[in-house]
Amino acid sequence: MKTFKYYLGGLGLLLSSASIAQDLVPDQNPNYKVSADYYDAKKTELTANQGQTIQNTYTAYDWTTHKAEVKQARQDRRYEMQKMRYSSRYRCRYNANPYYYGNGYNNGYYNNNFYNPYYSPLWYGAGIYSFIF
Amino acid sequence: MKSKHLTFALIALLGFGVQSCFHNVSRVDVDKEMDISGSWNDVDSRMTSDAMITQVLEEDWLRNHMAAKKTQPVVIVGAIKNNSHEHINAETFCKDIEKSFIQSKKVRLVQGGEKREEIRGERADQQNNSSVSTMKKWGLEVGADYMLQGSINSIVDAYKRKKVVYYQVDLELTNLETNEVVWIGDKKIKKYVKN
Repeated sequence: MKTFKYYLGGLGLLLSSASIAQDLVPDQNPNYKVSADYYDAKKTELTANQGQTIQNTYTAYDWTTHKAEVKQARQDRRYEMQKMRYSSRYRCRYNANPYYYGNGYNNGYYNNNFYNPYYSPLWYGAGIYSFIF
Repeated sequence: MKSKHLTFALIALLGFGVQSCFHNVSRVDVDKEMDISGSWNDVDSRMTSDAMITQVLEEDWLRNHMAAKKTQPVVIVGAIKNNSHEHINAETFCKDIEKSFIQSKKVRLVQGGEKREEIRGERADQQNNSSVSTMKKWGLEVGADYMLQGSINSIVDAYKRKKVVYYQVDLELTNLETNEVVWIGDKKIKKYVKN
């Protein structure tokens, strides 16, 4: 029984090799199935661009374009600066913004209208405070 | 009123004339040497391809291969690395070299890279859609004997308005089986640019 099984296995091997040999044309790579399966999965993606022009362009240096870009960047910067200056026009003026005192912030004690490090009743008494400060 | 119209027409005509002076396009001979900025251009590409074609088809590696194998070598084009300071498309001179291989019939060429992938994709598609008599088989591609690879290098020496640019293009053929480099070709270009 065991010998019969061996014969059967050998016969199967012979048949399968014979079938492979039948599939292959002369000089054909016996591992072609690996490649065939690999590309079978990717074929849609690989053939998607057929008949189309793939635009793989780059931007070449052009003196006039470069000059125009630099000019545009300068104009944009100038516009932004102007806008910032316009928006902060009233912020730094005491009359328009009473909370602003010198440094741009008010901590409630030193940088406010009520704190004056040079204040002394002596100057007021002498009547010369407004001339000095 | 009439003179006003005439003046307007004259101004328009003058404006058109001035405008046409500013922008002008004309076709020139492709072999004409024209250097404008000093960067890599078509003249450099042509000089490179001419030098490489002469070297690759005349040197010993081809005779040695023919003597050993009795058939033309098969070449696949690999990557060309651009190590220079400029954008250089190596395909312009590589295509000239490939064309010379086919036209001279001394070297056979096989497809590589993205194009080969696309061809294999089409072959895979044929397995399900083409008739059996026209369907192309797997495993019958021609294997390359050599791979062509290369590099582009540059050295720039500049001071104030003067500049010297040196380009070196190297191409080499390597035997795919033995890993032996059988041929190295080069083209050196030196330019002096004064602005």
